[in-house]
Amino acid sequence: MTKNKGLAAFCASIYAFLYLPLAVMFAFSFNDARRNVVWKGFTLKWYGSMFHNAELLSALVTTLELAIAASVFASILGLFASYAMTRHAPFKGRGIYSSMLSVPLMMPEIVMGVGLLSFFVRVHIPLNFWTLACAHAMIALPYTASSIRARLLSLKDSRLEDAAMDLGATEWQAFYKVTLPLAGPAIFSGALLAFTVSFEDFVTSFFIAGIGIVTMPIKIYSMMKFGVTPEINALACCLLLLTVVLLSSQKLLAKKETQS
Amino acid sequence: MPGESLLEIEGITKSFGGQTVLKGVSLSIKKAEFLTFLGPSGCGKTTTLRIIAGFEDPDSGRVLLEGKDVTDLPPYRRDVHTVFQHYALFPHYNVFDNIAFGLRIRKVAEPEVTKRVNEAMSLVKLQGFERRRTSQLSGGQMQRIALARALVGRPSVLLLDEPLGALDLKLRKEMQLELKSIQRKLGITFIYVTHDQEEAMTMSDRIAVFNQGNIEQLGEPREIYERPKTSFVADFIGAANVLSARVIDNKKGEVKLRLEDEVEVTLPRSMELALGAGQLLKVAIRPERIEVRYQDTPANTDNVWLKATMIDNVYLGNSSQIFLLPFQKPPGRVLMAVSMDAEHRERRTAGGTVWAEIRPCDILLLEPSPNGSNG
Repeated sequence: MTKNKGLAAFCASIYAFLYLPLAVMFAFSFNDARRNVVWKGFTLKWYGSMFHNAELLSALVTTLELAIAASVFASILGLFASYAMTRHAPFKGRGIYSSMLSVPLMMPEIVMGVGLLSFFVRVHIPLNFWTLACAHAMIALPYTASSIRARLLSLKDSRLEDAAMDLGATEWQAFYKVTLPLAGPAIFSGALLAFTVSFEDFVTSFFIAGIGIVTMPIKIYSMMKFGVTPEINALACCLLLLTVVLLSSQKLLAKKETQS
Repeated sequence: MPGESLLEIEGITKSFGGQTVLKGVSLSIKKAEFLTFLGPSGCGKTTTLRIIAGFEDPDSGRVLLEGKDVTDLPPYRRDVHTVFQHYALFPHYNVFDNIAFGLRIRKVAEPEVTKRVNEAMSLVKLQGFERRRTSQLSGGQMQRIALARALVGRPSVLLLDEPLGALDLKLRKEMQLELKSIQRKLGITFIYVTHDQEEAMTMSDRIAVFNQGNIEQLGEPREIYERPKTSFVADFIGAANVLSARVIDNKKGEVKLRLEDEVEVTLPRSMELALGAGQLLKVAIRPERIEVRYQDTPANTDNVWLKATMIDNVYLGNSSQIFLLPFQKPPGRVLMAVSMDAEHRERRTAGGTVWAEIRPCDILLLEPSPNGSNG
C-alpha cells in the first residue's frame, strides 16, 4: 500500500508539472493588474481588450486563413498519396516513399525552416502567404496521409471497391461513389489535425513568413518581448480552448470511424 | 439444363511474391451449370475465382467468356458478378440503394430500377427491407442482399466466394438449398467456392477439386465420390481408407495386389491403369463399403475377405464406427468401417477376431497425385 501511495504522489507531481503552468496562466488571465506578479482581483477586461486589439485580430485572421489553406492542401495531397500507396499495384520503392511521407514528423523544425528559406531564396520565389501555406501543408502532410491511409487500408480489406467495380463501376466511379464518402470522416479528421499543426506553428513561420505576414504565434512572441501581460494569458487561454475543441472533435471522429 | 460451354479457362498460372498459387488451371464451364471449386485453403480456388472476376491478372493463360477473350478486361467490363465472402455491402447506402447500385451505374431508368430491385428482393425473400440500413441486418439477411445485388444485373455468370462461411450451420443448410433453387429458376451459371465438401455435394452439378494450384479432378458429385482419381480427392471428399498396394500380376480380367506389403487380394476385373507387376500404387476403400462379419463365411466368394482384429467399436447413434487391423506387421494400417447394421451395436467387444468383406469394385485404384505429395 505504501508503495502505491508513493507511486500516486509521483504521478500527481508529474501531472502538476504538466498542468500547473496552464492553470496559472488561466488564473492570471483574469488578474486585474498590468503585471503578472501579484493577484489584484478578478476581471474580464483582458479578454475584452484582446478583441479590440486590431493587430492581434489581423494576426488571428491571417493564422486562420493559413490553417485553412494548409489543411486543404495537405488533405488533397494526403488523399492522393494514400491512394497511390494503397491502391496502385506495388511499385518499386513503395515502402520507402511511404515512410518518406512521415519524415517531416521527425525532422527538427528549425532544419525545415532553414531549408525552406534557402530553397525559396535560391529559386527566387518571393516569400508570401502562399509559400507559407505550402510550407505548413508540408509539415501537416504526415498527419493527413497517415489518417487517410489507415482508412483506405481498412476499406481495401472490406472489398467494397472491388464490389463496386464488379457491379460495373469504373475505378473513378468506385472512388467517388464508395471510397470518397466512406473515407470522408478520415479525411476531415486528418484535416483537423493539419489545421491545428498549422495554427500553432511558430518555427517555420518565423523563418519564412515574408514581410507583412504576422501569424498569431509570431505576434505573441513579439508581444512577449515586452513582458508577459494578462492579455497574452487571455489570448493563450483562447488558443488552448480552440486546440482542445479541435483535437477532441478529431478524436471523436476517429473513434466513431473505428466503430463503424 | 447445362448445355454449351459458356466460360473457358485455359492454362492459367499465377504466382504471388515468388510463390506459385496456380500451376496451369484449365476448365470449361457450361451454360446454366452449378460448378463448385472445392479444396483446402491455399489451394488456388479463390485466386481462380478472382481471375475470372477480373480482380487479378493471370501470369499466363486466357479467360474466355462466351467465346471472347476477357483476360485483359477490367472487372467492370465483364458480364460476371460476385457475391463476396464478407458480403461487401455498401455501409453508406440502404438496402434498396445497395441492390440498385449496378443498375444505376449502367444508367437504367429509375422506374425500371425500382421494378427490378423489387423483383430481386422478392427472389431472396426480403420484401419490406428496402429502407433498412445494412448495419441493421443479420448475417443471413446481408447474405441475401449481397445475392440480390449481384443477381439484379442478370450476369451470365455469378461467382460466389464462400458466401455461407460466416453463417451458422442450420442457416447454412437452408441457404444451400435456396441457392440451388434460385440457380435452377434463373438458369444462370454459378461458380461456387467452398472448402466444405458436404456443401459442394449438396449443390453442385459438377465439382472441381483443387489441390496445390491444380485441379485434381473435375466431375459430377457422384463420380468424384465413387471414382476418386487420386488419394487427395478420395481423402478430401468423404472419408477413405488409403492403403499402399503393389501390383503382383496384372492380366486381362484379373488383378492381383498386395496391400500394405502383406495381404494379397485378387480383383476379378481389369485394371484401368497401365501398371506392370512390381509397381506401387495407392488404393482407397470407403468406410461404408467395408462389411464387418463375425463368422468366417463370406456372402460372395468373389469378395475380398480379410481376417482382422477389432480395435474399437464406437457407437455414433445412427451408425457404428468400427476400427479393424487386418495387418500383422507393425505398425499396421487400421481400417475404418462404418455401418448402420443393428448387430454392431450389441457386439461392442474390442479385441475379438472379425472378418472384413469388401466387394472388388469398392477397392478404388488411385493415380499418383499430380503434385507428387499428398499421395
